[in-house]
Amino acid sequence: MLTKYNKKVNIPNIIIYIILLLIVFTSLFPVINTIAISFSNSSKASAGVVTIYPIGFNLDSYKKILQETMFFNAFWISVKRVVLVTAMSFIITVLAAYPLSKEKKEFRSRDIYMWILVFTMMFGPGLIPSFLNIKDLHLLGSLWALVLPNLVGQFLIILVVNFFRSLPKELDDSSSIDGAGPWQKLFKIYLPLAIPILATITLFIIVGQWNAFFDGLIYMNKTSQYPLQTYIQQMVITIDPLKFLAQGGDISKIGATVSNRTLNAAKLVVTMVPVLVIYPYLQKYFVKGIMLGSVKE
Amino acid sequence: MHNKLKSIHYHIMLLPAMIFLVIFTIKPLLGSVLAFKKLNPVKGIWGSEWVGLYNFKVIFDIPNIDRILYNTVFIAVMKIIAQLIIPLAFALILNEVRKLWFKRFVQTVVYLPYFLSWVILAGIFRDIFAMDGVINKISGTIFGTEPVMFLGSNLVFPFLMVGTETWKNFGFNAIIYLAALTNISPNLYEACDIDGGNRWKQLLHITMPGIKITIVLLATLSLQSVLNAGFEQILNFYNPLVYESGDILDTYIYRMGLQNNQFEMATALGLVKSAVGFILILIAQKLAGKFAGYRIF
Amino acid sequence: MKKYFCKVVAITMSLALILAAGCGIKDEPAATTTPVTSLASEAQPTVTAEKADTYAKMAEMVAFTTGGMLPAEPKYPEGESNENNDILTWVKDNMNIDIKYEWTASDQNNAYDSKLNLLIASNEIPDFLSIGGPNAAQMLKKLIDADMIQDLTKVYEDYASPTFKGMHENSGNVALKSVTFDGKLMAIPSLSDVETAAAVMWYRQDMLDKAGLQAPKNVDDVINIVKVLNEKGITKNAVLPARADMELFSGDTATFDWLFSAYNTYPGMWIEGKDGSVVYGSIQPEVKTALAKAQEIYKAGIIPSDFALWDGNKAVELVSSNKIGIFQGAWWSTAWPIQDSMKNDATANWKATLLQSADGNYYQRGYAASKGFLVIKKGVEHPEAIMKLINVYEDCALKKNEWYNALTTNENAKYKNTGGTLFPALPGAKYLDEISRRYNAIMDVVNGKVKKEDADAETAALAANVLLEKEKPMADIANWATAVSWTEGAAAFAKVKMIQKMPAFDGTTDTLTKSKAILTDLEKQTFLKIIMGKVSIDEFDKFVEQWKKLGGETVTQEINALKKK
Repeated sequence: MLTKYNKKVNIPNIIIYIILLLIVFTSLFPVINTIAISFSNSSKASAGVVTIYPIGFNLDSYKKILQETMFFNAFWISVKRVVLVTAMSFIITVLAAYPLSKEKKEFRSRDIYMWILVFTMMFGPGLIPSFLNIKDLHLLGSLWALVLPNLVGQFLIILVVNFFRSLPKELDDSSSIDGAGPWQKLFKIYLPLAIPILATITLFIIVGQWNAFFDGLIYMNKTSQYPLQTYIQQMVITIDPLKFLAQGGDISKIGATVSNRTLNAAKLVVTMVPVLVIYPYLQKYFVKGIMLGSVKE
Repeated sequence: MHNKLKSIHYHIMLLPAMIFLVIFTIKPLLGSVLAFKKLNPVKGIWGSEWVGLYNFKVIFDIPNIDRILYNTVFIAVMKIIAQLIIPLAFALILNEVRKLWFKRFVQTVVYLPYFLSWVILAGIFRDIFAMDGVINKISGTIFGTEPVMFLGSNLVFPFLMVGTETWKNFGFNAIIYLAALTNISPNLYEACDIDGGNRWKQLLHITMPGIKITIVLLATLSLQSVLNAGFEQILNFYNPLVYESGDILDTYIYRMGLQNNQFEMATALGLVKSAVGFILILIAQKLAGKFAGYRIF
Repeated sequence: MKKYFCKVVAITMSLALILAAGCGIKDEPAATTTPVTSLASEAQPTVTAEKADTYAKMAEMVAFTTGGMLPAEPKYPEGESNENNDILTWVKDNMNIDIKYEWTASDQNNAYDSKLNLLIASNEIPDFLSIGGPNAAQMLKKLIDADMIQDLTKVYEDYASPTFKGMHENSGNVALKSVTFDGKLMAIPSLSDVETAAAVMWYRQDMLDKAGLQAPKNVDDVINIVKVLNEKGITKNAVLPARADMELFSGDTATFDWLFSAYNTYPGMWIEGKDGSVVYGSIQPEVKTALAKAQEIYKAGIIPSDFALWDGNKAVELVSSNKIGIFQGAWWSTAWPIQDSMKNDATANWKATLLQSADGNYYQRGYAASKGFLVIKKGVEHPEAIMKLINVYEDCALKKNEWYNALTTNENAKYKNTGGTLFPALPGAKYLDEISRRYNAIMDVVNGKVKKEDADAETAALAANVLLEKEKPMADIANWATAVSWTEGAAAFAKVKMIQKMPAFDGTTDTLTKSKAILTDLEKQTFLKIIMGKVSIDEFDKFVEQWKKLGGETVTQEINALKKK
């Protein structure tokens, strides 16, 4: 909004700031709690006494993590998949959104494609057929099993379609007059104007892939191929001694399986660091649309 | 002629999306016939025998199915509504903030809980709402009330589920609104200001209409979750005391455990959920067309 | 819209069909698709003429695939993994058996079971598989119904080692019977001790001393201890940890086992009734008495008012934070959670005991002797090789194989700190009363009755732990945990005559599978409501009626019919 209002210190502003600060604190609490636990002494943590500051501060868990190759393995796999999906899905999404944003008269098959998109968005394949499909394609255990099925984000495509549609027709028409073809229009006109929405879908793709854990569980053959979230899900959160026994564990060894709350917390913190960094980085793209006032009336 | 040529480009642009859709979504989607069969692993989906609507019948024969369905829809609808309003309200409030660094800080912090898994968060919330937890303690000191077992109360439980999930997601869900808000031309605000409009008027006449389309779009797309009341969350929170109000389709089926027809049933349930969501979206599309004059898809 | 929709569907379908035809959706092949055994005809020792050598190296190399279960960080030495290590090499060199892992899954969060379930439904199981856990019986049933595994009756008869067979016979072949269907042995079951199921009361001797209390002998003593410790201010508002996330009764930590067992009741188990038939423990009249007592305890505030919301982690927080003086655990509780309690307060003096029921007996629940089993895929050749592998593993588990001890448990063993199962997850067979036997053996060494050199490796090692702890108490917390789990935990039931009720039935039936959720829900909700005083104790009778009506009666009949076979 306009700077004119900056000068007044009005009540509504103060209220707004207070409300926001309260919200920030409640959102932060579990994060701070997790961070505090990660720096605490593990027996104290399991005694449930750690709240917002570490008790028995130590860096043991973080030191341990550096030795846990499986954790970094999983971390790296997730990074790879995020990069691959983001790059490929971004292109696919943008390419698909453009024609879909055209009117029927310009592109007759538009409706058909759109309904395919919506239909597949609603009706997803089941567990067994998906599994068999990946198996038939010989992708089980391959990183591509985590990438290729996730390239068409119908929801995101629809978001971009709606955005493109909101752009004034005059842009299109005037460039047609200049002899621009569809590809040029897309890359030279529509994309530059769509930066905020593109930043949005990039963020969504990254976050979606970073958080995904179930596909890792069913498509990967070895625990060493697990992506990060799948790995995190398999950390020992709760002790289940009977389960341990059922798996043939020697009960006297259960001490070694102890749920290490501080170690788990540390791993969670490390998992959150990339997402903590990505959003602020992308935020600078959420600038006011380069909406030329002249055209948008 | 011109159209036909251009159309080819459009088809080409849509090709990558379609290819991946066919290979990874549509082809395994055909396996959904599993819902109508009795799976014989050796014969595979296609060789197994047809059993018509048997698997669907098993679902509807569940005792208390009406209660379970009611819980599912109730919680899901409350979540849809809350998760449309709260992120929007938050985005609007945040939009009023002018200090960019504060805005970015708040945005980043509130989107963090989205990344914590329910396994961790449930533990934290259970402590907060415990008999000797923060909420009861504060309420006791200020209002002198007796401790309430929130997570054991059928009255409170569904709302707790809606509340905690909204809290977890609102920061992330607000991102789309925030992006849409940047799309509103500053000239419009200027004009309104010149005309003597105060903040409230600006909100009503400029901001809201400016993001009307985004709101309608998100509202429509959220309809697909009408039977997804939040399995992972509820699983981590519920207990037998609140089955009456908190048991949803997915959690009951989970408790049924390994069944002889568990995959067939899961596929059948998936089809039902998808069909319901799809029909609702179609209805919403029609309504949006009639009343808002807007085509969502 | 409709027109387009139909068009869309039509086009989509045709597109898909065309591509499908091209990619070839076909019937899943019935035969196995995994590369399996080498087939060259070999001179197998004839089975009928003389006893097969149950340990003999295979004449030719045979290869098998299997699936493995791994913890998040297995910690194999540099360059090695679960697929590449000295143990597998030994097996290859000395037995001509080559094991290949088709896949591995995590040991947490049901990952292994989920994977297995998926693979069974997709007809993708490896050559042999180990199955365990609460879903094992159902998975076995699925495999049998789908005709995916082979009959192992002869393989066991001819090739199981005398040791292995002997262990099973010792237990009355219970485990074998549980995996025999229509007279055919469809899996090789494991056999493990059942004493671990006992509910052991752990208490703080130092706190009891301060309050002038005696060690608890029965339920009322336990209640009294909690009360008095609070009254005297030694504990503040302490409660007996309880939880409801798993079952209310399951031989673990902070459940109600201590109470139910003391009343000679066994909810949640199928047991032999007074008339010899199999009945369900939860609907027996004595359970009503036990529940009434639990109701009393709840009312008196001895257990937390919101225990229904507690899970294992929360329950043990009370122990770790040293806020309480008594709780119900198992013999191994020193490993968890008492270890944390000691780390937070090294002066805590924890002791263990079993409770007596009104008639002076030490009743305890037991559980199934078999925790898992191994199945072999149909069509796999040379299943006897697997049986031989099991024989070898059995000896390894009994610590009879020096090469294995050197690699795993001896001082500086290569795989001492490696997690997960080092052998391709095979069923072992131990004595049902392994723990008390071991305890007695250890104490014999500790008391000098038996010389260390004469005891077997495991006993000797544990005795060393105990002696070390005596010499330097609390010098090493891990040592303390191991030592005390035996000197207190195991001692609790080794020293008395414990009467364990074993399950009379441990598998599943059709109706049981179908009705499991309904019946369990009813039971859990009723019990919780009764204990919390939300309904009167007479609700129990209504529960029994309902349970029978909702399928319980049918299940009981099915089980008894099965037992007659």
